[in-house]
Amino acid sequence: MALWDYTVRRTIILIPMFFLSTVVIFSLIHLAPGDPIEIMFTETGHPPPREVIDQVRKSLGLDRPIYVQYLIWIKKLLRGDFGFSYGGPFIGQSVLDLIRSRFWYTIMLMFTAQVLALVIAITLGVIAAVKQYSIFDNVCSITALFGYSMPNFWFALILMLVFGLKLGVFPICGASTAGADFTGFAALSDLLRHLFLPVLSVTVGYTAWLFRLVRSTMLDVLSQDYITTARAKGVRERVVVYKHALRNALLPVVTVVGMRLGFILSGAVVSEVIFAWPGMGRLAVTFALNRDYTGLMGLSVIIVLMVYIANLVTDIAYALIDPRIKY
Amino acid sequence: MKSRIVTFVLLSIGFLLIFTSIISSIHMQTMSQEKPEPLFTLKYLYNTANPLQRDVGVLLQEEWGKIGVNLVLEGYETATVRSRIWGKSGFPTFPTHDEGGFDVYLQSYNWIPTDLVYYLGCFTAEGIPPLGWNYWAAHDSRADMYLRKCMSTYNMTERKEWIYKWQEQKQEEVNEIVIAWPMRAYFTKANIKNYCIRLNCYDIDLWTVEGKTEEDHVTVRYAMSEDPTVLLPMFGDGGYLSYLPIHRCLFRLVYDFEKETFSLEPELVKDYELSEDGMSMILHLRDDVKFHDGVPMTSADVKWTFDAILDPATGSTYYGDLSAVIKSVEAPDDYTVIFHFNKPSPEILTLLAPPGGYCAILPKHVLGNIPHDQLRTCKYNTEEPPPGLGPMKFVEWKKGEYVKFEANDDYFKGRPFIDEFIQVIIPEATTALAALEAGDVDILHTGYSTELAGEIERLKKERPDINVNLAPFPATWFIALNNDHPVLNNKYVRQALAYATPYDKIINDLMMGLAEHANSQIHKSSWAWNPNAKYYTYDLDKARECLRKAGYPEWPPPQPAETPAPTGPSLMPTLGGFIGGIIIGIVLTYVLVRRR
Repeated sequence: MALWDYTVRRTIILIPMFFLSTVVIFSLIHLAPGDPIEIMFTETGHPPPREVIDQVRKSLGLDRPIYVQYLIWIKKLLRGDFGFSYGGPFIGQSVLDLIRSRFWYTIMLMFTAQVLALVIAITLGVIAAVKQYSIFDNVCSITALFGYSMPNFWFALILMLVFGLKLGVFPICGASTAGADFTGFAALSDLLRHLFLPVLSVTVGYTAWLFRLVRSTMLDVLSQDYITTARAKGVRERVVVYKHALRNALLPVVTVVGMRLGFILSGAVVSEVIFAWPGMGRLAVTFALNRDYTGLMGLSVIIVLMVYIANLVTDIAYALIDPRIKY
Repeated sequence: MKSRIVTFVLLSIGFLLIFTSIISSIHMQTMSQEKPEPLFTLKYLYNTANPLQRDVGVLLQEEWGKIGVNLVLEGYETATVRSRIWGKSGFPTFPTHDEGGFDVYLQSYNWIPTDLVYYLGCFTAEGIPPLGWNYWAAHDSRADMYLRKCMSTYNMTERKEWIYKWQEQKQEEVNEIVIAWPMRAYFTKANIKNYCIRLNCYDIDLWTVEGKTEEDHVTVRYAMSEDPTVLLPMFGDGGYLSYLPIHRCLFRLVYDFEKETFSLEPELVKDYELSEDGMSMILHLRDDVKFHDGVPMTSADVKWTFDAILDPATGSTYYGDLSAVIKSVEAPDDYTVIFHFNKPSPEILTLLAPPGGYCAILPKHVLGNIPHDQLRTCKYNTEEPPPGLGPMKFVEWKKGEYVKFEANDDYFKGRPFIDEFIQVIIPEATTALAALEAGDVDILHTGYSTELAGEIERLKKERPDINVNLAPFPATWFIALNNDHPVLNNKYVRQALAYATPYDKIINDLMMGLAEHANSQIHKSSWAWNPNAKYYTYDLDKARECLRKAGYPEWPPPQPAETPAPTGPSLMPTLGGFIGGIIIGIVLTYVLVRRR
């Protein structure tokens, strides 16, 4: 029951936190020089007359003081209205629709990558730690060092070059074969084929990072006294590793994974741009470049909520993994 | 204890001496190497996202430094740069960089390849009438007079004469330093025929694909870096940007450019009549043109389109340009349109065929009920374009992925060869090229051109199935100078800067050879280009001479010969300090050790 109380308490604290963070983000975005109207109209050397620019600015309410703009925005938000895009390629379109259309693509990319990375990193990390300094450990550690230090964008380009161009086994970009009308299984396989390279490019760096973390915490835990005790008691090695050691070693891993989970929605910007994946990271870049206030705010709201949920889930996961932790 | 304190103090003094002597020697050295005071300081504004602007800035800093100009580079991101150039600087005053404007800025300007005189207005003190878009604060009454004369006569010989004089005058005054006309590289699959880079999909009905016949289902994929911005052409913001291919294949203008010669050709009209006094024009429309939904186009659609643009409430990009010339539009019968003008305008046909396609004819039966001030936010501008008159019909727009079109069977010039046209959105240039090489797309948008310039040689050698061509692009690169700047308002200073600019280095090293040295704002493919206007070349002696004419002292200042070499005296205290410090240190340490 204590856990439930804790959850409710945290949720109540969220409300002022949420308003505070929107105020901060809203003012930060407005502090940046240039507004969406300037950018919209001054793309080339032939902008419309001043009065037209001023009129459009007025019609969007951008001539009002910032606090009035904020109040109008928050009032709309509370009614579930995210507003429409102020600039850039999606001008005039509903921000919620835009986010909705990108949402599943990002979840697909990032969630697959997270799950893959977790499974691979924990498996390899545990084995490497148990067989410390073995050939397996050395190979894994060196590979991880490479994966960890390699720039993401470079690796993405190499993947594209090898799998897309030279071998021609995976499509180079996009989320589907443009213009093809696949249905059923064909559509699914088309999607999976397009998903492969972006997921790989996101997974490798993340897996390497996670592997190093799992290995080092596992080594740390394995040298503890209670492990020696367990072994002395005659507990089977498998139980020692997976029950006594891994459960304790997972705590720091859960912390960092939880932190990453919150930012899952902002996506892997680099991979999304390089592979032309229609995800939210790319959307965020487009919004930011065009000073699209409503678009950026809409994305921020969702990311703030996600971070909160991820933190909560992490805290609950602590309690589940480690019975010593009580709320 | 006491002795320790004494030793510590003495040691400190010793090391202090060493430090001071080192510092003084460094200072002496810099003093002896310091350059003479520069003649004046200018600030170079650049976009941090634009490597070319930055690199040119670095080069100019070095080169202009040789004639005594201290060029300070200041980079900002796009929004700030734009607000400095367009946002705050309203006609007629142009703030300098320190006041929030700019001093020096590398800029390119796109031209219509034929009758472009109208657009030159922005280089005059009046700006483009009546709004006064004068971008670079050029206050040269003589050049303005030439241009005004050119813009008010119908006689081509006279026009040519005036526009030639204008170019000579501009090069004499150097209101901006003209650098080069760019070339663009374009990349297509070798089997795509009749593709013309400058038309941006406008000629899509003429494209053919080698190895395919009329019966085959032909799909052409076109890579673009960004989703379309606006769907109604009247809100387009000009240039050769990504939304344009959409307008180009969906909509038609009353007049447009012919493909090879870039002369103006009737498009939706049979012919036109200009009144004696030049104050009105009658257009006779074609009667066989249908919108994509099957409704025939009539004069009502033309009138509605122009009325919407001419209404300031609409907020169309083209309002300023059109309202300066066109007073009203009349539709006496279904296939006749009469334009009434504010003043005689020799550029009227050019005005009806803007490169941005702003006044493409839109269907009144679809848009007619929407109030003008809601056109910008209506779904036809944001979600789904209205039926147009072009060779392609809109099918689907999957945001962030692609826009799909199909052939218009009823196109008035005949059904296009291509059955399906897909604009794929790929933000990264390298990805787009990889997709082309892998066969996922057939044509790359010109926007990728500069980023892929380094790949041209390799593709030419290794990939016979890919067509790489260089084509002149109707634009001019120039260094905009703030003519209101207290230093730059002197003609001789501007000339000096023009002479001190290394054109060859900029073109060959920084523009990857994708440009040609220019002598005019007008592109050399135009009838109006004056081949005799002055070409500035890199010549530091002439530059220094110009600065002397402007009243600046000689630079670098002549070195007084009798000044004794500063090394001797400056080195002695340094060495002394060094040796002294070391001796004191040794003595102190010795004392310290002995006491122990």
